[in-house]
Amino acid sequence: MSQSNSEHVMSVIKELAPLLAELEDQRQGALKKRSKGMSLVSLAAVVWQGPEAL
Amino acid sequence: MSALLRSCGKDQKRYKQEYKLRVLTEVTKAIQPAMRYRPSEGISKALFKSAGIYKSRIDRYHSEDLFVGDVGDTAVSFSEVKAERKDTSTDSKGNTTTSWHTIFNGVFFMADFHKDFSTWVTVEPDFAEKTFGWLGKKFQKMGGSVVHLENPEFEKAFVVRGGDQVEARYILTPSMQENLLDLRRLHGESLRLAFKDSKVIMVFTARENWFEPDFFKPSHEVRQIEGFVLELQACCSIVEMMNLNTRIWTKE
Repeated sequence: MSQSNSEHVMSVIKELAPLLAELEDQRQGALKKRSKGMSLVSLAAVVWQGPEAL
Repeated sequence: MSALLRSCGKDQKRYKQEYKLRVLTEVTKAIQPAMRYRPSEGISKALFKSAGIYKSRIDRYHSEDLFVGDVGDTAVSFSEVKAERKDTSTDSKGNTTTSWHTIFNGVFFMADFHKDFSTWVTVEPDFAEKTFGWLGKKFQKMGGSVVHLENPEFEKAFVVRGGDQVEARYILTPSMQENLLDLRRLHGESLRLAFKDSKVIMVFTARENWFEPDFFKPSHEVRQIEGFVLELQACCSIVEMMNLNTRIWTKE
């Protein structure tokens, strides 16, 4: 990407900063929920098959 | 637990939809002010089929990430398309196997051509000649309507078919042939084109899903947004590369 294009993209990102921050909060929330879900899956596998499941 | 996992999947989908709808539409407006991005819309199956680039039956079709507007004086629209065919075979024991064959997965681009014409022309990769040499060339002729052009590099890369030899040459001028070779270098050997109803249609396969945010990357990551801009510019630059903004006297 050329220098001027890159600068243009950076100015667009700056303008969108509040919106990007809001979406990042939403993403972090979803990631936390996902990580909780994965832990539960691992725990269920251990209960079901024993420690070898890990 | 399955409800929790399902809910996680929904969260990811919702995030991507919102990102496209709120961030990428704004980025499009800033980078290409005369273009509009409609993430959940696409090119219709009827339009895809009518281009005549793929003759195969289509059993599953999906199109998203539609862009519509103008690049300079040229009206354009482009979108991601995935078209598949369902193949069913039965073995000697009577077991039936079903498989999905991808006909096309990539970007469909359509623009007003800068000249009016009434014929049809298709430009496809020359797999037959590349693989079978002179024999392949004979096979091409059997397919009918082949238009041979003077540029040896272009002839090696593409096979051209058209409804009218003279008009096909009016469309595919020597400079247009050079432009298409440049586009092939940029978008790869899968590049195919159709000229029809005074419009040009171009398709090329994409290795990755274009115009798609990555859930596992921070929303504000510069590279991700730059990647989107590069994909947008790669499509819009087709207009410049084909010189479509140069109005020819016959075109209003």
